[in-house]
Amino acid sequence: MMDALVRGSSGFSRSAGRRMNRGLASGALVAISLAWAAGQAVAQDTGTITGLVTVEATAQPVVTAQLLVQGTTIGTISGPKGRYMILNVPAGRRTVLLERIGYAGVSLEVDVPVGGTAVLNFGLEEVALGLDEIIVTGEAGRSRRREIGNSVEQINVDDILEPVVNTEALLQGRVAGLMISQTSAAAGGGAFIRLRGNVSVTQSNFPIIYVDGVRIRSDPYPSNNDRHSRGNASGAAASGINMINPNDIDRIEVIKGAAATTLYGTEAAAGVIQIFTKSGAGGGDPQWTMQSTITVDHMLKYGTDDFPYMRMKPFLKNAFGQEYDVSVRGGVNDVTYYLSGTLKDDDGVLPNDSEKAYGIRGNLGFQGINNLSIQWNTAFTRRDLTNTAQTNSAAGLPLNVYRGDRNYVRSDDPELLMGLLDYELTSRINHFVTGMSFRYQATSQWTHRLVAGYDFSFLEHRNFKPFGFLTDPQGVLQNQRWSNEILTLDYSTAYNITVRDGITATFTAGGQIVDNEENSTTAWSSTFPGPGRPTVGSGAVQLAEEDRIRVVNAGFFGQARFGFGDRLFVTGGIRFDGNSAFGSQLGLEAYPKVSVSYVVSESGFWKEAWGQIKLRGAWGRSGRAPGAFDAVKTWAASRYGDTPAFLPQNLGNPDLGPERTAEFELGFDGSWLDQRLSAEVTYYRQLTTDALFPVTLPPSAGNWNAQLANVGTLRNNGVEISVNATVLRRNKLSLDIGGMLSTNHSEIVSLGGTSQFKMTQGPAYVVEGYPAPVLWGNKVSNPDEIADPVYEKHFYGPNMPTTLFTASTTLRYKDITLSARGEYQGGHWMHSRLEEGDVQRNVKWPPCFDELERGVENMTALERSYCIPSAIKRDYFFRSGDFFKMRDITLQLPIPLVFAGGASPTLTLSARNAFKWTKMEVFDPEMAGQNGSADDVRTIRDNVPPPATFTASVRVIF
Amino acid sequence: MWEQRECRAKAACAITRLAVSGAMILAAAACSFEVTNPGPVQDEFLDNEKAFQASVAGMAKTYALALAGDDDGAIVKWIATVTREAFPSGNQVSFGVGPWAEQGILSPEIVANPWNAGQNARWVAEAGIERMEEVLGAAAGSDPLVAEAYMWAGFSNRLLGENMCEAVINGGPKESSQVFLERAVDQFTQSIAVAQSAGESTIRMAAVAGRASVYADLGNWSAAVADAASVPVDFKFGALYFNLTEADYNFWAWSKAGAPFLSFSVWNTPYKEYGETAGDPRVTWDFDPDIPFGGLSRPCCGQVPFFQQTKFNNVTDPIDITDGREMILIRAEAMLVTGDWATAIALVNDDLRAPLGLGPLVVANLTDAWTAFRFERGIELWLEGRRLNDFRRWEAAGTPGVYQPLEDANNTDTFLSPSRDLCFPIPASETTANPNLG
Repeated sequence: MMDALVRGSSGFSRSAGRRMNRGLASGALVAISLAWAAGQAVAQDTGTITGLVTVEATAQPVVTAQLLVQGTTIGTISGPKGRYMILNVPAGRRTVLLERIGYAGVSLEVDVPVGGTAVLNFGLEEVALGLDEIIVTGEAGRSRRREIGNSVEQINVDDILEPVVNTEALLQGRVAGLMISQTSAAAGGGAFIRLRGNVSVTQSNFPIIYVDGVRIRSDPYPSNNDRHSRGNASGAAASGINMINPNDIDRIEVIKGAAATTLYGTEAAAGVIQIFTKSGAGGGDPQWTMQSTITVDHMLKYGTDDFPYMRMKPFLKNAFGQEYDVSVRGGVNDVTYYLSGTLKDDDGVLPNDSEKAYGIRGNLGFQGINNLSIQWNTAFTRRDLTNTAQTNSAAGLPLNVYRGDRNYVRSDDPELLMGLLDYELTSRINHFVTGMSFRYQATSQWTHRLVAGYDFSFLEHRNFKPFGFLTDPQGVLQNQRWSNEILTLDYSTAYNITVRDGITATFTAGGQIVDNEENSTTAWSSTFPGPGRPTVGSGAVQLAEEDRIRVVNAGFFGQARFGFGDRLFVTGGIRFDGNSAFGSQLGLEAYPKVSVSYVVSESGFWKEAWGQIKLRGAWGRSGRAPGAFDAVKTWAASRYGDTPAFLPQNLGNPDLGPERTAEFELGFDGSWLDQRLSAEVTYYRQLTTDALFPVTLPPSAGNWNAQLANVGTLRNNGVEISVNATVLRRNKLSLDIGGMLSTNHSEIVSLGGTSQFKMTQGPAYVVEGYPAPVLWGNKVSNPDEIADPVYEKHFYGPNMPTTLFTASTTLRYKDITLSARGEYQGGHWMHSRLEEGDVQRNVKWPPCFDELERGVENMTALERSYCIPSAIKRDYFFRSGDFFKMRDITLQLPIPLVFAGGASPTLTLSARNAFKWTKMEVFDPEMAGQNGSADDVRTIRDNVPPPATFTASVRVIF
Repeated sequence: MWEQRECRAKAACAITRLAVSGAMILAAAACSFEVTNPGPVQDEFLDNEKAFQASVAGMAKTYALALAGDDDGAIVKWIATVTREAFPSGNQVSFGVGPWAEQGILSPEIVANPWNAGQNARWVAEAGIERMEEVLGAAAGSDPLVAEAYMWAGFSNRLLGENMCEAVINGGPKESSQVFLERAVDQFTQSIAVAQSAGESTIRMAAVAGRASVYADLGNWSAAVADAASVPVDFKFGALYFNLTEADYNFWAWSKAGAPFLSFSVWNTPYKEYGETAGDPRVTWDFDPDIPFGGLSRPCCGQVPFFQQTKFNNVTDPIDITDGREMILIRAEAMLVTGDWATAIALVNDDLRAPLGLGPLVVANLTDAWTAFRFERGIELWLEGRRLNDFRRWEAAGTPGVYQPLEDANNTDTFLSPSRDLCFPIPASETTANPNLG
């Protein structure tokens, strides 16, 4: 067999020995657990199929195309230069199916000789519309894009040139309506994520995240905050989505609103992001990918010309990092595998910052039992983070530096300020996710799918101010151990029938249970006897806290879809949900949906010159559950010295239910000019009723937490437009350009009889008739007068961007590719708590130097309002949040080396955030957050902005 | 093949299968909705008699927080600022009272925290009493915890009645602030009776002393003197503070911490010079050359020299909420009200100043006696949250005598507004949430 392969694969000059070693290695990895599968009979009369996959129009190779020998489970994935090889193919006339996102599916026939090799090359046609692409997310089973009535975004990671820093960066600026904004330069800090704006003002607005059908944590992890010493915080929160190694990702599907997320039920109103990791493919040689990346983080200038970096310059460094990735994918008989490992060691631009991480993944597929396919995906990631204290922290470095000598150190001497770096903030995050999915094809018409998954995050924060520390001389140590376990059990079944000629029906039903448990134990101590490295037991004062919260959400659904002539599809469905956080008086909650999809261009009257168009419309409902304790009347256990004590906590509301978001969206997908021009246009309108607003009780009836009640109504609407065009398409040269515009306008339609209220961060309010939330504060009404400022209350505008725009271009010449992508976020306002706090403290504010030289008597009211401490007013420093950043400029080119086996490495050079424009005079809109991305309102805090990242990466696939 | 044999009507067959599948999932899901998370205590658990001790401790704690524990509420800092018992020198937000209160202006927009904290203390105590009496029935009349609960209710109502311009009870309509004081009298009276039955002498004495002060607030001097006379001069009852979390700390001790806030100074107050010259152990302060200024420059006067009070040095120092020495002051004031200034000053000199080794107050007439007495009361109760009510009731009664120069709002050196407020208005947090306040 081996000899035959060597003879038959003349295009692949690998040595038999090397291939055998790889085969043995990969085979050994899977053989132990898959012995039963290996027992399956291997056909004796087999041959090999090999060939190239290229773009027909340009002859460019296509990698990661999925090839499958029809009627078997044998297949592979195209490798570097588009090459592929499928082994052990039963001899005879065979049909090979090829699928790849962005290209039309192809099936070709070939005669496979016994013991020989058949050559079969594929020339693919690029398709902008991809009507027959398979979509999973939001669907009760697998659906073709043509059948779906709502907008679905799909990102194929192999189409992304730049070495991706993390999964958030991968998504940033690539999905219409998806806003991802960083919060600071903190190592390991996660980003603020919103899909189509805020659908809630009291509950989480983070979209829920699935990885291969398994729910993982979507909200940020807890920040490393000292829970008892006032205002000591790291200012960063890591995120669960970044625990997924971006190099393991095959594709990502994003559905944005209730019209699409109905089948996910109570927790999906803010959208769903589903990540699909890579899988193996049987029949070919193992495909190895090795990648080595070095990075340099460099802080771009901020501040003023006189005070670049606002005095932070001596503390910032160019941060070097390195990352090594290796993966192998392939298959043995009925078993496929994808195995990967990553190792990362990064510095941060802040003096104490660093991140060390490693991760491993094993994705195994079994197809050895009749009509049953099993996929078992498992990954483990560990990240060790060290951070410098930022944000509104008395021990924070930026806060004390920005305040000059009016700080808590009472000096602007960098030598003294270096003492703040004795504050140690370290975090270890372990993330383990495993999921097993079973797909059983009972008959040609009836399929079952069951996913059982487990997501486990463990985090240990140590927050240590040693004895003699500048702001806490007695020393403080806090150790927090936090974990989050999410169990997912998801079953669905689909039954397809042909009702009559041209009319098909698909009935699906299923159910889901998500059991989410979050536990935290915090030990805190202070007042150490002396220097040294203490434990929590070393302090004279010791406190302990424990939080345990479990929420169970479960539901079942049914859906029916009717297809007419394979071009008109009508879908109706409903999900019923229960949730342990609902009030005791509330039963199951129903979420209906209906959608229509019409591929109008396949109608008889349509002329080919009019292009290809799919019209779509969808309406659906989804929800957001209240917090675990919101429905129950509870008292907090406290103490008065040594005596236990009860304090009022939640008044409770037995009628409490979920927020109910109904969404209507209408749009079309189209392509014209021989697929050279494509567009997706969507209008959406969301109405969240029964929104959970805090109903403030009169304080004279007890100081209970404001009780949530389903009373509010808020609305979101907007337009999403994506346009891509191939300007030039030649054999050696091609040029693509793209643009993506999305808008979002929110409004509080009704407060439901409650009073307007303030969000937890900044002067952001929920006010009827205004965005959710709106920044409301003081404005100078006599700005140009030479006088003291006169203030009036003013609604500045939304805190969330109303406009997102991304422009991108890709230029290819032979094997060299240059791409660029810039993102604009705008239309929103941010409050600069940083500037307000500093000027208030008589800090001689650098942007005011010229004004101060002229003297107060010559200043206008506007100038006095932000330069003169006695003239400033709280809730005043509002700044436009508009900015543009060059998210990446990337050059990819081959290295003229050929390794044994014909593999050639590729060099990728990339610059991320290397250019920025912002309306802010001094700071950066992406330095927001008291608790990083966990804040409900983005407010400029004492952070440093995210740096520019320059990356060089070498990748070889063989 | 079997489905083709058995299910001739395909659609019906499919629906049946879907229904069965759905039912299975529902059955699996339904059994998992009941989740009881640990931590917060469910309301019905407080009906357990054994939980009453913790309920009463909650009353004590909410009162201590309202007085001087919780930075957000701590009414002592507001009172000290407006009456210039202390001068703000730190952050205007954390540990501060904001620029308007620093000038003595207490507007409804800024006084939510002291109102909310005080009302919480009152509500917790009164609701607790209701629950305990319902559970205990007749036994409540001799239960020591019920006696203590009534006492805390009395002190909470006194705190509100002395400092709030108007009263609101449990989301009801606006009433005279005297309503708080009248409730306090009733609750102290009830506490005295139950404590008597329960044999709780300390609680009984604290309630008697508390009632004496409220009678004085109401101008019922004969009743005040009767109660005051029964309290030994060395009796003390305080709100307790603990070295646990910041909310358990004595505010005054914690707010002067060099790191991070340096919030209040004795600078530019009458107590700075008095403490420097009189040698009175009741008014003491200190200066550390390494910490020359407070944490934040003021719009009025730049960096504030940080003269830190030393009356409360530890975060665990209690703050007296009533004591026998205050009873002497009540008796002396009752005499002044009748015009018997000589006996009043003699009482102060003999029973309050002499035991501390201080020279006597020397006055020549009623007006001087009032002036001296007013400052003496300020000295005796310094930083204990009683000064605003003194100013308020003396202004209301047209009491003779004058302010000390550095507490007189008409003196520009105080940086106070001449229209200084002497009580806390009903805050916006109440008026917007209470439908009875329209």
